[in-house]
Amino acid sequence: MYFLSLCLFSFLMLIVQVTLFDLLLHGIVVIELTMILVIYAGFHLDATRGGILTFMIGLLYDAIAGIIPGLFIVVYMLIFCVAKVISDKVRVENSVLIMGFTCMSTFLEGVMIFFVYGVLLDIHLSKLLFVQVFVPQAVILSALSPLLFSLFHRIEVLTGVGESQ
Amino acid sequence: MVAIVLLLVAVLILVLAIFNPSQKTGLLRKLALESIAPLEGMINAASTGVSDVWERYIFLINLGETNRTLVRENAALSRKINEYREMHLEFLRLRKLLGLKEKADFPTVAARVVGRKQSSLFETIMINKGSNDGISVDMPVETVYGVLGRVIEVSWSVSKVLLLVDYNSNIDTLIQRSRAHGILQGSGEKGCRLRYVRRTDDVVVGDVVVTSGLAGIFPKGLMLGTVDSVKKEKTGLFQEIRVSPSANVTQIEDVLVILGNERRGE
Repeated sequence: MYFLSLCLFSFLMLIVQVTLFDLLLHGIVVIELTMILVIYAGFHLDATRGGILTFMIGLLYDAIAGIIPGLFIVVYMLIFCVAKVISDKVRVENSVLIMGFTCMSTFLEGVMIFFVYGVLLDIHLSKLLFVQVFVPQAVILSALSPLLFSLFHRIEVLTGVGESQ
Repeated sequence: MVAIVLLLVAVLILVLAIFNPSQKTGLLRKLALESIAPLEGMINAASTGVSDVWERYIFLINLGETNRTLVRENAALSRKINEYREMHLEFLRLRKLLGLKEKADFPTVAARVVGRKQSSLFETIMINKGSNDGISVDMPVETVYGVLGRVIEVSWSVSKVLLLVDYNSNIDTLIQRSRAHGILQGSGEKGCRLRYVRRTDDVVVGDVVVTSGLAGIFPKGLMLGTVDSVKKEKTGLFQEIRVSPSANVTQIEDVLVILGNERRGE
């Protein structure tokens, strides 16, 4: 029940991300809330459920926004795996850690996309573009991440306390 | 363990997509597109309704001045249309004399945009028509102002369109005036770059760029944009040309999908 509600919530979040945010921000910056959800899954869910949820979010986002099938799934799965490893070793309640990891994940996504474009597709994107696209995104997502973590936690409490652990 | 397996599956999907690209959209991707498109459509329709009310009934500052400008423009355009009508009639007479084949008119399907830019780097839109309406991958998409892009994924009632400003977009082109040949490549929000135009080719700012019809996706002669800047370095074989797309890619509501292209069937 808890996992199903989490899946539904992820789906709704993705819709908000690709519709409402685009309308409000006119495409100036894309706020990838799903990435914060993936990090939350890595920090708080077990490997199986978190992995499936991450795969599902990646697949959906890929289908809706991606051009190269599988790219977002790989990026999100990588972020999830790194978050899982960190959560096994460090206490992950610290806001600074959450913000720092979110920032790093945004840059990881950028590096992955640039890698796929440059090495595999032979399309060389400018470094300036990396700065223009991923720096604002990293700043905004990092700032939002503690708030969203708190929101996710509330939803977790509402839908089934402790089941995730 | 499960996470590692899923990661490997994801890598496999990515590698297959890059090295063995398929023309068909997978069932899971179709389901994802189908599930999100109606919700996106609803939200977009609601926001369009609100902005329409605002623009048509409330925000009417400068309407008088705009009206006067449009009346002047209308008069100038009417004169131009008359000139073009004369030229067109002359062209028809000459074509008849030369026995040239008449240009085919392609069947089109009108579609509404239900989703706009959804990712930071990829320039795509979603439209509310799919394979049920005869749309398939690689069909050209245009607006009244010019080419917008091409269909890259098709589901039953939704399709995804790659805009011409996306980095993955490459269109074979001609400069309308000088017939110089080049490849129009997207460069994100900055518009497009016209690549592989030789240094000796005649290109000036304001030149119109049209499709060449060579690659088999876009019919010949569709409007793409106008040349914004031309730069010739001291060395190098090609010119550095920036092109501004004629279709406003940020404010699209309705599009036309060109269903047939005579080259497609060859």
